[in-house]
Amino acid sequence: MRIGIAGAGFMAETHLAAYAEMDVEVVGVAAPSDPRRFVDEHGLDATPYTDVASMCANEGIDALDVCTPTHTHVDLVRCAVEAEAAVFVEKPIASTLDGAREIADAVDRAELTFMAGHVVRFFPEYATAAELEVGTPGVARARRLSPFPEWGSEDWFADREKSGGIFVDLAIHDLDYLRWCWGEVERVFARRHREPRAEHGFVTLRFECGAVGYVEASWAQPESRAFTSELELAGDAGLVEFSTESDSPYRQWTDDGELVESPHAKGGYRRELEHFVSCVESGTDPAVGVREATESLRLALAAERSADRGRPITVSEVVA
Amino acid sequence: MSLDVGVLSAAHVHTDGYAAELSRRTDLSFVGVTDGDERRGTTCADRHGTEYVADPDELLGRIDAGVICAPNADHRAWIERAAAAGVHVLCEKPLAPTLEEARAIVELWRESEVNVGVAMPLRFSEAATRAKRALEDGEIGRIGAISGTNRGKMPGGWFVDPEEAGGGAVMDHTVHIVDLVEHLTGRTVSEVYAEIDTRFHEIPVEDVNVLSMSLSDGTPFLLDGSWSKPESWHTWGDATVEFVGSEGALAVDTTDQSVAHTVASGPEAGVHTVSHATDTSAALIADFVASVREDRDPMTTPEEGVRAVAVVEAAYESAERGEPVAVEL
Repeated sequence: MRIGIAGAGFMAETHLAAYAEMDVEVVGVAAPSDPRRFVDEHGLDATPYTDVASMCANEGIDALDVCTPTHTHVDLVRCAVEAEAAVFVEKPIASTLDGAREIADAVDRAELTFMAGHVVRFFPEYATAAELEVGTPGVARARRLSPFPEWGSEDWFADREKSGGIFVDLAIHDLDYLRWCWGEVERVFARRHREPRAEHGFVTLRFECGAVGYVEASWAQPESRAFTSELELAGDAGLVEFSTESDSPYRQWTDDGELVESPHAKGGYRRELEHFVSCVESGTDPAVGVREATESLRLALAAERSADRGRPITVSEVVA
Repeated sequence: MSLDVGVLSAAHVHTDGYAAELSRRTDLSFVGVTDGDERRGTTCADRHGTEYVADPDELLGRIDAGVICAPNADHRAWIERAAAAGVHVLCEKPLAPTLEEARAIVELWRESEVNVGVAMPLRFSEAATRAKRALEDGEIGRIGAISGTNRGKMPGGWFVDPEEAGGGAVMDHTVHIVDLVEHLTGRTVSEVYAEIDTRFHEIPVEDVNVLSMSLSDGTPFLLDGSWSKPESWHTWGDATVEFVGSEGALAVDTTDQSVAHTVASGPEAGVHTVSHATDTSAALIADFVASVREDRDPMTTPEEGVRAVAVVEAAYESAERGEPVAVEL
């Protein structure tokens, strides 16, 4: 399978590491600034492009992997559709529901395979937790704590118009996961704290099934704190819990500091992209299609709106 | 100065901890236990080597100070009775099940000559004390967000009786962390949005208690105080709070100083969590006893205790109205 990657940043690099272990060819990399350096640095046998449309037109790709800032997704999906390539888009699917609808129309009309990168569903700890029995859902707790992302090209995370803010870019990981586990959410209430280069948000959820949940997402942690994610699913017949803070199968110390890794034969990104590739090859529907990704975006937008307005928001009423 | 102390009702699950401390201390005399339930009162008195006194007024006539371990609905009556007898009291939390009763207690306390303390043991946690110093010294800069938990197992008994407890998990597991946050930050909770329900147990009160609050300066503060831990969980529950600041973050886990003890077989077989932290019940009693001796306020006064009750009342109102509610004192 011939894959073109749009973007040459942190996510592109992450996906590339997974592709290197898979039976696929990365034949092109498109990025507005210096894609050649990315190709050379990673020793790729791929052609660098400064625009995605040319890559799609010239490389005969089977799939386009969109690893670019959120606000660029709609246009890049159109490029893939023009080239009749399957398309994988990093989460969130788009910045707005209008954008998500445009993507849905384009891929539906062209009958192309589409998947959004809600990778948390594929992380081994989350995938395992989702399968464990807790009985009738009671309270879900999900936390995702990180320093402010410094890896965005042209610092796009600092521009809330582009990133969508803490709920649309970060909390959406857990919002999507919890929807997947416990079904749709009826209403949300959210609060957040914002500074120029820091943001911390809380969103409480009332699921349609009656259960309650909350997601805490932070881009306000100090650099010295390792990225932390935590999950609890409490039901009337059991409790599932884990935290990356207590999950340290491999640790290494040198004079430069501590290194903690949780090595897996196949990590979440590899599992996610293998699923996508196998769906493209077999013509089956990926687990996170355009509708799933759109509902998770709707939920995140509801949280943003709730934080803006200071009142609870019914998720189904968020249509734009 | 010799101090005569008694236990006023043994209904609360914390009674044993306080009574053990009263009998351990050599600087006071643990005179007796009174309880309307003779069996409960006698069991408690026997276990701690003191006397069961059936008539509460008789016990109040023999003591200088008392610890009220009664159900929430009886707190006001006990405080009134003790104040009338000139007996200083330490009262279990929450101060009262309604804001109206809590306000009446504050009035009574202001007009009386006795000291009244509210049992907020987390203020004595060493990790919390360390956090207070860090926050006061600005070690993490300006506070931007606060996240707390106080989960537990469903306690049963009068705790799930709407009349005696005044509510469920919201009533039982909101006030500890709310009080701690107000104590550590010097700021007050000004608004509450509540998602509450009964999802885990077949009980007439709520066991889900998720509160999204904000402090007077707008700082968001999320608290999960649900009775969501299964009966077979490895310990009673948790009490944690985390602060995110402009220059760092800090996390307090008041139960994270413990030793795991596995018993191989027999009725106690299984993993037990044995704390090696400062005994906060003992510290609470020590502060109360000292406050009586030194004629000063105990660590947590009714004036502070009423605040957490106001947050609880706002939480119930929010759940009823489906919108955030301002905390009114």
